[in-house]
Amino acid sequence: MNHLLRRLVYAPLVLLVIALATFAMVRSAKGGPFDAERAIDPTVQAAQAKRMGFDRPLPEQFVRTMAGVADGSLPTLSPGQTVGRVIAGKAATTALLGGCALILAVLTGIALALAGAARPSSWVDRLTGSSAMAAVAVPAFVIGPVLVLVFGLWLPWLPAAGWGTWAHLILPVVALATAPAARIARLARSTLAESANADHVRTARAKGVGSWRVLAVHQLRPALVPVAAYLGTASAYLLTGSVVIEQVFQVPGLGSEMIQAAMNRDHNLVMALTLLFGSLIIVCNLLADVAVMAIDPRARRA
Amino acid sequence: MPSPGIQLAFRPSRHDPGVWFVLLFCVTALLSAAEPDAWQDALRPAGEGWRSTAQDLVFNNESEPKTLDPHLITGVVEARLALALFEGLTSLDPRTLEPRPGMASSWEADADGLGWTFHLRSGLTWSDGTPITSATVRASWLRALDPRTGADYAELFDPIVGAEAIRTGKASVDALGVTAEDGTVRVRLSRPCPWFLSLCAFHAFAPVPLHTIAAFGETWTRPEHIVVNGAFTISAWQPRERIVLVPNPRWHGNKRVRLSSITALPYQDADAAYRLFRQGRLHWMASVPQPKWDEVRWLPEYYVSPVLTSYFYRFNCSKPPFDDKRVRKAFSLALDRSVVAGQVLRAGQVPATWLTPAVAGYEPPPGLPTDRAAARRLLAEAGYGPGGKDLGRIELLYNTSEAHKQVAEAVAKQWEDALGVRVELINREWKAYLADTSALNYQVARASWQGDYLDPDTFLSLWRSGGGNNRTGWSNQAYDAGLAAAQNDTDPVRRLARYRALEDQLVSDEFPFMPIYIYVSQGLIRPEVRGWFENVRDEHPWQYMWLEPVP
Repeated sequence: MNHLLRRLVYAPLVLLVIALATFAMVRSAKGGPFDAERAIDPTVQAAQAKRMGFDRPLPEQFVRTMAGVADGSLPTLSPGQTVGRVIAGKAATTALLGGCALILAVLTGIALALAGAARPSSWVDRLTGSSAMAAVAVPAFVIGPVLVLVFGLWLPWLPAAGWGTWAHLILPVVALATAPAARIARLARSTLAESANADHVRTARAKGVGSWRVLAVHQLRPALVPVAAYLGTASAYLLTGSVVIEQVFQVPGLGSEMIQAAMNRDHNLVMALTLLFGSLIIVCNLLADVAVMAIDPRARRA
Repeated sequence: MPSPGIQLAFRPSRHDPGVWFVLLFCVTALLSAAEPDAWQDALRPAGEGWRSTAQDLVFNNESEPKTLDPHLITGVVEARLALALFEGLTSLDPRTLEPRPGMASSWEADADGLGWTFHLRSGLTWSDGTPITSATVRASWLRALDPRTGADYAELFDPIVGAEAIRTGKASVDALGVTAEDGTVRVRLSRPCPWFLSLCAFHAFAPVPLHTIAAFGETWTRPEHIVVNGAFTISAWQPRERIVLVPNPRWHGNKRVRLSSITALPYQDADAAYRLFRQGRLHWMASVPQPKWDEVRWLPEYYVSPVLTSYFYRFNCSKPPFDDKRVRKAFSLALDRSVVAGQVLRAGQVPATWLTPAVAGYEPPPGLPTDRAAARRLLAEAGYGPGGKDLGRIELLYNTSEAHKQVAEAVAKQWEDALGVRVELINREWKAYLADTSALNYQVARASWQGDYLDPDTFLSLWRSGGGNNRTGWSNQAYDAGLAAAQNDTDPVRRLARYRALEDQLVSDEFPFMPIYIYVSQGLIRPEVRGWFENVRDEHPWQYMWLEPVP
């Protein structure tokens, strides 16, 4: 429990460091929000800067930015738009994409590990093992376009890009889930292999418990500990991966919003999204810790 | 001058309460006008066959609009929507871009050529039913001029008496040379402005619903608040997903609108849009995926046409070696533009040794042909090359894009071969590139300019000393004086001749930049989209379009 408490106490500090670093990097980046091919009259530019609050001293801007991010009222470069509205409008999309990918990754990862562990060194084990190895190595921005090519164009079964129906969800979710699924399969498979000769497993077998039951009941639970611990990292991967995948599939989520904000030097929106992503990663890691404790009694005592 | 706008396209029906008014209006108009609007006849479907096709058009608008406030719009993405949502005093002919009636049904010029009187249609209203009057036009223009509004295009109002003083805070709003009387708007100009009627069709000159803005402030453009006066209105807006427009029942020409909906998709990735186009889910996309160009250009749906945009390289005239005009000229003479246009880009771009595309009766000067011997001689005269100073490594800056990179590579190769210089390509992402060019932190920089209006002035006023769009550090008093003379010349022929002489000075002698080619617009459009025409502004008014399969 102490461990969790410590993390909770550190979380705001971590966020503050993220905020300061992002603020410094965004403000020192070359090029400003009002730079355009067609030069803008200085009086007009001053009016636009004033609207965004960029005419105030930097420390004051930082404080206002933090307050505006907290209540969502911070203006973005689009007149009349606030960071709160942008995030509210896109969060569900990214959450749906990431959530589906996480569930798919856990289910397929564990299923593959079990399939391999049921017949160690069989062709099934070798195939799942080697394809997981390959899938871990291939980045999402390669898998995405390949999926589009195969299932969108050669076999025109699924929409190649866009958003709006369940069919639109399939390709981006698969592309996003591939690497974490492979990772989970490898983690679970190796723990399953370790526990294959553990005392309690041998005892269970000796008592005549069926091999699938041994796998699913006696071996799976310890195998879930590293998987649960990995979920924190996986959610961070899914968040950052969504930035790439949303761009590839033109999904209207927070990831594509992040890229646009950075390109447009929409300082306020970059700050808000970075802090949101940072908080989400902290929360996901905490949840992963809680999950590990729930599965592994030893972790509770630590 | 155009003939008065008569709405002969109304199909009177006994159920229409306004039918007698319309008939009366037509009769009065016929009596007062010499000939009807023949221009509109060619923009109508032949027969009624189109009615059996669903009139729902889907196009890729390439991005999410930043705003729909017509005074704050700066990009093409927003302008495409504004063309459907807002209407100015005039509108543009979809083929020729000539000014046609908009909110004003007719207009006449003042005797001295420095003023216009516009006659508004009667019964104009916003989409919420609030009336639009001549006072609305004047108040809207004052809003665009108010620095607090933050309108990028406020400078375009400068030819109107008092406008420049008002937008820079030097005069009160009473100084504006625009008077709103019962049903008419009178505009006085401080200098000749042959493009003024086209400007009135531009979104920066559109009226805005001041009553809605007063109620909602900046958020008036949100879909739940927005009020428009154009042919279409917003029916649905899912951010970064789609925007759906439907005909505005309160638009004066509503009965002539044939599309029942327009869906704008925001896909920035041309490749993603192209995949949808191939799946038959898009009618029109105004760009092509560059890597697939060799495949795309053979498709029957592919179109390409020259536009009012010029591609050129700026020289940094504030620092050696390009502070010497002989060096600038040498680099320009060394380039064979046909290689860039014909072998690198290959989409029909016009290789150009001049800057301004031919427009509105203006014929640009020919510039100078490639002459590598002369280029080497000039460089030697300037003291560079064998036996002279070392030019060092020439830095060529461009903003990240595959096409700009290919052009830069081709140009660099030619410079290296012809002049024996070493060229280093530097690419910067868009905003960093803008910051570097504005701060004169470059040697040679890729650039382009899209004409704001159909006149050479939009290209040639760039080079005024100290102008915000000059970005070369080049400054020339004779040029500034010549530009002022051209801008104030009331004789249309002499005026164009003055601009031509100015441009000749730029592209034959001074070379603050070197022209390379004139852009083309490229895209894919399905054959059933009718009433859509290629034009130099790549602007396509929606109210003329319909869908009808090719027989």
